[in-house]
Amino acid sequence: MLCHAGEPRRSVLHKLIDSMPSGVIAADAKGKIVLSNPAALHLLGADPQRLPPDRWCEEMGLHDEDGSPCRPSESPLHRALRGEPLTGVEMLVRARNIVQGTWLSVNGAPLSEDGGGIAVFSDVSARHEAQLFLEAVVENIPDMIFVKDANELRFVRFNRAGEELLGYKRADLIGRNDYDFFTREEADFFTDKDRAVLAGKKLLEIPEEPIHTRELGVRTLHTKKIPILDRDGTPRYLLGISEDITDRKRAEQELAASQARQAREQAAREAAEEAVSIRDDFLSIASHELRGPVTALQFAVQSILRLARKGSLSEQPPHVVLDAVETAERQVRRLAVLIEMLLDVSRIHAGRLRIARTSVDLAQVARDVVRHVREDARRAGSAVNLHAPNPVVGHWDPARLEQLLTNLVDNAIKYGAGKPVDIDVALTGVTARVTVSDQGIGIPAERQPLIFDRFVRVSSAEHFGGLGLGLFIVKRILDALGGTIRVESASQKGTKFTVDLPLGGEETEAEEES
Amino acid sequence: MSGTGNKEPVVVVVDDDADIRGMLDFALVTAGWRVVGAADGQEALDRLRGGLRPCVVLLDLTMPRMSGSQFVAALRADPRLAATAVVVLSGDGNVSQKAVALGTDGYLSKPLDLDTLYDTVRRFCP
Repeated sequence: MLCHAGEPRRSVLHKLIDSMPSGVIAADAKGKIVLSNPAALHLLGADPQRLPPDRWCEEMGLHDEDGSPCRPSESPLHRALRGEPLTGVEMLVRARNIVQGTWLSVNGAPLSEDGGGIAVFSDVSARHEAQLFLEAVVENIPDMIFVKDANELRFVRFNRAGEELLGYKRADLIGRNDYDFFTREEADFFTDKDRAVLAGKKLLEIPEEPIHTRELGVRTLHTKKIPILDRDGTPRYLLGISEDITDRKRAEQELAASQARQAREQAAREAAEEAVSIRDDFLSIASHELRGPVTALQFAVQSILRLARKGSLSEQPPHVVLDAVETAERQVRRLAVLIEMLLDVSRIHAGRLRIARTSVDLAQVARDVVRHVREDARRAGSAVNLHAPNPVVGHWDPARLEQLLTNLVDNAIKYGAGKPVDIDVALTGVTARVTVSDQGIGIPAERQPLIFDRFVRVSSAEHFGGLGLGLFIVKRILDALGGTIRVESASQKGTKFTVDLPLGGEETEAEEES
Repeated sequence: MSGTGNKEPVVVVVDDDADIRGMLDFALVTAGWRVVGAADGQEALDRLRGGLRPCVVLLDLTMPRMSGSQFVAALRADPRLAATAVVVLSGDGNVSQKAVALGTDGYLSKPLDLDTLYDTVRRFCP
């Protein structure tokens, strides 16, 4: 119907062309339109044979692939009609006042050797829309999306989030591979994973991978890599989706650090409160312990003073006055021992329990201790029996040994229920052994593990005073001397402490070496 | 240490610290009282049940065998002894509260001045 003017007959070919859904236009070497079919008129919205080609761009509203208006006589149609071979070049036809145009895919071919060309074009709007939609989706996903070809692992696709993350434009990225942008180690890592995904034909998740970006420094990505297979199951592309988890991770770490800090502070606070509580208890106990000797001392001194002032001191029986003065002297010693204990706790706490080693006979130390406690033992009604037939000489601190034995024997007398206390000193091989046994109230089994702790008093506070420091100090002295202590006890049967002390040979050897 | 006769008022001193017991004895006897000492609550209770009737009991709290509070409870439970005057004499930091809780007739906090001791004993033993 829209045939070349002057052609008398319609060939089968012309009928075929007229019935095609694709638009067809042909031009001769001079640019004259020699053929167009109804589909061409329909698709372009104007008759190409009636409208001069140099006005097509403007009148038909032709636009290039990127959507910009075509320059006069430079649309894909024009190029095809000049004989330029084209395959699937897209263009938009959108006349004035029309919002949504028609996307055409144009094929072009030369018509003859003399010139001229033929343009065949079809409506690809639906496909184009679908593609635009898909691109818009991919483009707007806030994670980096990339596609690599399966063979050379070159980038074929990139979205905006990827550009922003890596700091490169997709024009720089497309056609290149990881080695063009990342450190060798990173590129090796990425490429190894890519190959594994393609070989395994399975999705691979990389929970955390570091990546050096151009402008954002090192970021941490959570990446999924997915193989894209063709119909035969052959991997064609690799799809990557990477979420930048750097900030989230940092926030999590900061949260964890902050929680850990809070826990530490809480623990420190509780420890401090406990320390204060222990200290308060201790001060209360210590002041109670100090009150006993101070009271006796005060009564003794004030009574003597009162009698002396009245002038009646000489009327008292001499042994009564002597007894008061001796009591006063004993209180002064009790106070000195208590104060020394308190100082020891302070020294132990500061790690300054000093040991001055010298040659000592443990049997002699035991005899001294027994002599010192004799008066206390007599008052408690307990006999103190020492069995130390032979000298036991070692390399120890005599003052600390005396303190150790005194604390053990004091306890034996205090909790001994007025029954005998036995002390044995003997040498067993290279170890000195001291046992201190009483037949008193004993230590309940469940309390035995606690007795060497600070401020622990085994007995009930209602019946027995005491600082709760004696065995604690004993244990620390033994720690310093390399010795050990163990306890055997049964309720109402008595308690036996066994102390083993190395003779201090290592020390001696060390001294000999130096 | 006894005084000059059985008519002298008796003060019972209950304390496990033999030195305190001894010096209380010394202080009170030289001031004219008669003193009976006991090393714990049980010993004191035995003496009272044996017929001893003191004008006051000076009572320590922390003692082996029978503590001060156990002694007071036993005393109050015995109709013959329930009226005995008891003054707590202790180094415990909470001696005033404990004395009130026990319902004793007074309390003294160790250490204390001799004059305070005498003033208190004089209230019960003229």
